[in-house]
Amino acid sequence: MTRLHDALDAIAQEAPPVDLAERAIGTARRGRFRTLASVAAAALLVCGGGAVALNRYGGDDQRTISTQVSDVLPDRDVGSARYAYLDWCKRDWKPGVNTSSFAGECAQWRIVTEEGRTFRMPQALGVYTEQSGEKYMNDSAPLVISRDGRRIAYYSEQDPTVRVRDLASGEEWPVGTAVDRASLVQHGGLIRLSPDGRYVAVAGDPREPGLLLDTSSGRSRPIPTGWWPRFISQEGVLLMIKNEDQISTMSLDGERAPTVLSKDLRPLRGVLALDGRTIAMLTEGDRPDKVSPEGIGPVNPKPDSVTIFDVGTGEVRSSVKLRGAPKGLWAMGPGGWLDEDRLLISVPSGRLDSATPRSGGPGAGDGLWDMGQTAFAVNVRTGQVHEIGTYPLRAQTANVIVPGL
Amino acid sequence: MDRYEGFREFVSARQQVLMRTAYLLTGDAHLAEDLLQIAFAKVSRHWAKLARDGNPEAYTRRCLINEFVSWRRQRRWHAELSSAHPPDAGRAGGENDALHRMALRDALDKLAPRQRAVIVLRFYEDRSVQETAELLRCSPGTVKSQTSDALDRLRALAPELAELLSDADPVHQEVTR
Repeated sequence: MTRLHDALDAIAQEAPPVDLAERAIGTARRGRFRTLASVAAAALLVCGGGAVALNRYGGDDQRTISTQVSDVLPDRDVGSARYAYLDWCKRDWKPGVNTSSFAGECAQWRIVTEEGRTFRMPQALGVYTEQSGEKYMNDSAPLVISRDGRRIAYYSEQDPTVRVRDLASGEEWPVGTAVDRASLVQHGGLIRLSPDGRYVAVAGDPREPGLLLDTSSGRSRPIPTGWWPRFISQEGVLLMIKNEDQISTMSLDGERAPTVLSKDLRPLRGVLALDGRTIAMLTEGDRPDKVSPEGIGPVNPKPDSVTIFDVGTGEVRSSVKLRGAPKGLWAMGPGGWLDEDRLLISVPSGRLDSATPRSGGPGAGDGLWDMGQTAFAVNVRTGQVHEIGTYPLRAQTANVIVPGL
Repeated sequence: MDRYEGFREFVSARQQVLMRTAYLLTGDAHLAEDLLQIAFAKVSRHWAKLARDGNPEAYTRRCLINEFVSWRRQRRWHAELSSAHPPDAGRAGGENDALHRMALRDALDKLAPRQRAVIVLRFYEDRSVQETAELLRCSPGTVKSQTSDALDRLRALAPELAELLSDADPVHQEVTR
């Protein structure tokens, strides 16, 4: 033995204890090697809103999401949501032609819980059955799930407003701003929840201010007109963007960070997460921007880096190339922090070119498309990209909602 | 028969030993856990065969090393934040040891992946040149040159480690085995 050995051994002894046996055997049994790299770090992740296990991401052991749902969401005592989806009952949706035929259960959001139960939500507006062909991209009312899965936010046409619901207690909080259905169908709507669902931000008609609300205290503050909520931190600080190239933050006390122009960073559509002082975003480091004719940002974002910059000055603090990312990784941007090092993003599975068979087009003779999502964790320090779960869904039109996004 | 019979026991028995190696390779607990989990995942895919007529630990270790080396990009952000602090002369023994560890840790962070792997395999795991070559899938000559280069680089990065590294001469090591 050498003194070098002793010094190395002293460092090695600082390695924290691990208990990977159950996770390793669980992953092995599922035969899901590709997800294991991230399940690896699983354990419990701490980032403000409490512990989040990475293995809560993904569908139920790769079974394709079913459309057969008869149970209505109970008033209370519902377990945490694992994901939500709309699949138009796997039928072809033709805006302006057959949209009205989807009224009823095929237009309703489905909530899938950690226990594997699936419920319909008749009280939440889902598919816009009156949508025109011109607005075909705006196909449904928003629904989001807090990162911990315990709360959801949805649009209630009856009120009409956005409501935050605690799945266990059944308690609900209306956001307060009345938004009629016609406005949503015309302009679309956006809802953001903080990791534990305490804070909610909504926006819709770009001519009207949005709203940031603390469900615990009832305090609220308008979001300046023209700004879109992007992410809410555990402390209730709202990260917002304007015209795809301006970034700022706002708190319920009215504190505003200086507006940062992000033109030098060539951000993809939006910003994406914050820890109060820094913002992380996926960027195309070496590629020139391809801005759409409308000037609304990169047309076909293909991130190759993850960049951290100062929210107050816009200065880059670090930028690291992505590695381990599947070919075809395409993302609007990370949606939140999984822990202090990792961002969460979700990508349409059909766009990925990976070892796992995924058909982007009609296959298996069913005439359906791969409309599922694949969730990834991106380590902002190393650039390592890990798949953490998949949501297989074959349909002609579909929306899949991942907790925290 | 359960195709993963014995896998849980294997992971339970060897994970901490392998975690220490992973930690030395990465210098980061989080990354080390990632690395080890990836290695176990690969082992699980071939568990039936490995359990029957293979050497699971050797295979795991090889996966660990290969996966680490394949992580080409070093932790640039982290590396930029770290800095070496030369120890003051005349410190007490225990304090000097701690400072040496700090300097060694910082210097290891600046090695190329294969150089770092060679240092860990040769001087922490005390593996022979031949064993190291098999794990890295290269020739013994390459291991020797990588070892020499890595030690030179450590001396250059942290001159205060000269004494610590003085008895780690690769040729001397091989002769005495």
